[in-house]
Amino acid sequence: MKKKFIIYSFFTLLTSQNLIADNSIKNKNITLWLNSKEFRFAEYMSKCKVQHPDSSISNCNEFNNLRHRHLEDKFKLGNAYQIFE
Amino acid sequence: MKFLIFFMILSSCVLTGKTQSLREAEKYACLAPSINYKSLDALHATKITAITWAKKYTNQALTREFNIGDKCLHTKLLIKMLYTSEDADIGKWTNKLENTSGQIKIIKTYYGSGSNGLAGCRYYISRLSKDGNQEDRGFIACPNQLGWGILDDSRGFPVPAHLVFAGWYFYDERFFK
Repeated sequence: MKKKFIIYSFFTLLTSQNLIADNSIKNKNITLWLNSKEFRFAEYMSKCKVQHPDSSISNCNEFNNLRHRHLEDKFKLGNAYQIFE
Repeated sequence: MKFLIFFMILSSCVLTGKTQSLREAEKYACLAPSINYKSLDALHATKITAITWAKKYTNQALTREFNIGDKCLHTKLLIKMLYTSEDADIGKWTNKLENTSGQIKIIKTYYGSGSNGLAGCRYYISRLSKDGNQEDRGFIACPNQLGWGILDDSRGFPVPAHLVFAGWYFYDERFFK
């Protein structure tokens, strides 16, 4: 009985240690993401809207400029991300 | 009692069409479409037919997915690459402890009026590896919703985006073939 209990405890401890390690890695990657500039930028871009002179509304994605010939010159790859704080 | 709990879980999934892993990914905004592909594809199918959804939902439920940490790593890379990388650039992440890795390659950016309505969109391929198994998926990310005549289903309606996230509408590349 005692032997069984020791074996059982050993495996329980081993599994829980693995789970703790697994969760800490998961949490580390989640924290890395939630504290990143990419996360803040993604959240901002998900919500940001802009109204055009013709009263149409679009999101703030700068790649929208590529849809209009007169705005193509204003497009600079990575500009919005770089100036975002 | 067990049946009641099972029924409650099942009915909540049926009502929302969302899997548990997708809800977790939404909670942390780790929504890169390739790494959430099976869940998003099942959800996308709810907009098309119920039978397709049921098949895809079952398929997703039986597959071991990437963990939330990997989903966040892939999403982080995707956001940066879509907004800042040139065509042909490749970005990577690796998680040695989980034996997983991911890559994103920007294939093409559609410029100007000769793009058949795809102007501003970016075509990219996402490669995900887990325990030696590798899977490639192509997506077209557009800054706006694609309209009539670009991606029509058999009934003539525009195919909806798989995901709207971070200023992009993500379309599964297989619909363009």
